[in-house]
Amino acid sequence: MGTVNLELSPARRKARRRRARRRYLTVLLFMSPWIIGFLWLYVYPMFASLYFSFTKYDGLLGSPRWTGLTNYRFMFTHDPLFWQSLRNTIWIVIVGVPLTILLGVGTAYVLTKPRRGRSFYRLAFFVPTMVPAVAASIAFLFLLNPSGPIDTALRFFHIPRPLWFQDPQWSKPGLVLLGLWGVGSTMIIFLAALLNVPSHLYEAADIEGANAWQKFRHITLPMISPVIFFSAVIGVIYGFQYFTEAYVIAQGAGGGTGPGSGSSLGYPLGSTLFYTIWLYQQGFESFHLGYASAMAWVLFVIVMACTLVLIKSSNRWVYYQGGFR
Amino acid sequence: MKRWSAMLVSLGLLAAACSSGGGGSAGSGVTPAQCTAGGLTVASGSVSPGPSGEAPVTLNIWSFYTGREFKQYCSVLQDFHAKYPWISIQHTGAKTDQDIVRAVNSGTAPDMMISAGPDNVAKFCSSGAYKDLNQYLKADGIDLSTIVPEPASRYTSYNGVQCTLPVLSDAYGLYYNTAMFKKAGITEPPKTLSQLETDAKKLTVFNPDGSIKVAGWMPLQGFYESTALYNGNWTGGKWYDDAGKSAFASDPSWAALLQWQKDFITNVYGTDGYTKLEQFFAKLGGPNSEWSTAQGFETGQLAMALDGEWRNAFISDDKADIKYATAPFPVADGQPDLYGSGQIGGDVIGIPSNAKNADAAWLLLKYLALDTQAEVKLATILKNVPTTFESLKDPTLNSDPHFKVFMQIFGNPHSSFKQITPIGDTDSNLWGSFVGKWEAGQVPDLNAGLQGLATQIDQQSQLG
Repeated sequence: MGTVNLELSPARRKARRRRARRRYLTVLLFMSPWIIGFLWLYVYPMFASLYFSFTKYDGLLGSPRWTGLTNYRFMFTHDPLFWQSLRNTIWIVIVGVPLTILLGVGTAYVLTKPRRGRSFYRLAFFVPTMVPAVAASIAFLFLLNPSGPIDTALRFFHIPRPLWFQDPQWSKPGLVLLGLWGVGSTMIIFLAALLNVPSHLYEAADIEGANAWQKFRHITLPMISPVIFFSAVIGVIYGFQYFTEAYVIAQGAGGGTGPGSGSSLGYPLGSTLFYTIWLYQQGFESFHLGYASAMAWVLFVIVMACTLVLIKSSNRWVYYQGGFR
Repeated sequence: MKRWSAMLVSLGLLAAACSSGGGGSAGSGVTPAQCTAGGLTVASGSVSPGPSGEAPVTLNIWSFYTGREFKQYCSVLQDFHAKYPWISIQHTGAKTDQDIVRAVNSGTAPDMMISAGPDNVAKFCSSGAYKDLNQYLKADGIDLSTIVPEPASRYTSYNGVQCTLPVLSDAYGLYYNTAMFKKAGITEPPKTLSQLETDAKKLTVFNPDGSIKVAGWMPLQGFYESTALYNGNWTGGKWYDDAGKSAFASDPSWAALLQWQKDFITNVYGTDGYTKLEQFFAKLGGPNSEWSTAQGFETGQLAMALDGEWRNAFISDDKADIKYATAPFPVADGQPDLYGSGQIGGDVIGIPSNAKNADAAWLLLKYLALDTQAEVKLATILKNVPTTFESLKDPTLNSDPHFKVFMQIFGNPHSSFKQITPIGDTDSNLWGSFVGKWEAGQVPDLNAGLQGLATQIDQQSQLG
């Protein structure tokens, strides 16, 4: 019985290797814009900022001067505004993220019900997310202005009228309201998840005599838990980087505009001084780029730790239909 | 061929990926030598060499100006071009100090920068980001002290390095409603803080529910321009001692000023005065009302206001139905010699150290900052105070008695801008935040609080 020689001749092997290499290089060439962009715009700045975090650097003509752990030591032991900004940020994460998820689930759940005008309602709830954050913030400055329309309505009904963005007790709740107004993007994900829950599960529950709450608790919630998990992770990451709305609101609501009057960041009374606002202030207004870099890395570690905790905890409360995690 | 096509596409994508997303300049694409909303641009090819054979040059200048003021600035640049026809100008507006820092750092700085205030002058002078103009002043035989009042030279230089020059300034003084003064039987504006309190009490009117109807004077630091009082000019407060350390704790005038403020609030508006004032401010429409016809002084809800010279123009433009006069702001009772002075400070112009056309930029800078005609024209169109001795004497500008007061305040040797340091406005921000907490009753021990603040500012100075 004859045998087939599967081994290629050296010349054909060489040609195949050459083809493979050419294919590889072609792929690499097509990927090069992304690779170069990634290395240049992400990897390099990340490691540069890590280096800067150990230096005194004003971003001007002088070179960064190595100062070791000074920036980190100052942050944890001598900068009260670092802690204040961290507290404010944790507040917005702890209050804002769950409320966004609750409202997102609730709105999506309600929107699965109407038989008529479903598309209209979905659009109506989603449209606010298309408004730029700056425009939405300015609109809320007007709406919640102490002599604005909300105030007028509250006065009409003899309901106590807070000073919102002028009152340190109400400024953060005002920002949360602004965030909840744009809940459409979270809502749309939950809506897709809710519509994806197999109807036979509800039919089986009906046969077993389950009531609405039991169906929600034992079918709906587990089935949409991966989306809740996703929203929580994304919400926490964005929450720790909360900036635009707070920046615009504080600048708009705060006073003092002339030279020497300082900025209004954190107005009123530091209640809207979030982590990234203080980082921005340090890096781009005080020109403490070394310190701002150190703050950025501490933020990175905090966000990473929170994300890991969420991922770890997801084993206990996130249900995947296929059993995959 | 395919590979070449792939490579070209790839390179195209690469170029697209690597290009920056910066927007075009505000001054691009305009008709040569015309002032438009886009600014002034003169094509370099259309100009001839200078009288001494100077090569035609196009200056790239940046400023913070936008909108109407940007356009108005253009006419002065045109005058300059008429005087120096070989120098063209490309003016880009809406630039901040953060922009200039990035540009200097990346070697793409313009030839000249007009900043909105002196906050970062010390940083630019001490880091070498801007050229020391002393070399140009010396070469041209200019003695700055004979042209610009000393306080303005102070806020445009740092440690002997004159890296910027002042061009127009704000000056702060007292606006008072003469009809209300007459009704209250007050014959002249207050000259001391005690008199301010007495007059404010007479002028304040409450609603039946106890809320404020008309405020005699608004002492809250975050209210409109009242913040200027807490920068210390009228009470002789020093921001830093001779060793360069924060003086908020060591200079007793700061604690005295804050204590005066607390007493003022209680004596004029009652023990719940802070809350009443906050509600009053909110009713006025908050900070945004300052730039609208709802501004409290213009609507007659404020009898006295600390404000800048520009309020005159606002009152006129808004056709506010009030009778008013202006005067220097009252000073601390123990500092009568300060009366007549005020907080000053405004635009500063510098040449970045890596400017490509520094010599031509100096000609423009010198023109804008030191030429009487240019200063007067700028002051007239932009409604700010001119910054040279000669321009302060201009008869037209002095013909308006309301505005004249601010010209005199600028020329007063005791007028000042807060001491500048390389930490920019960080000290102002920390101080403002502290005063806000003090007003709200969140500082139980004033002296300990001021000590903590001073330490914090000193630490910020050391930070990298």
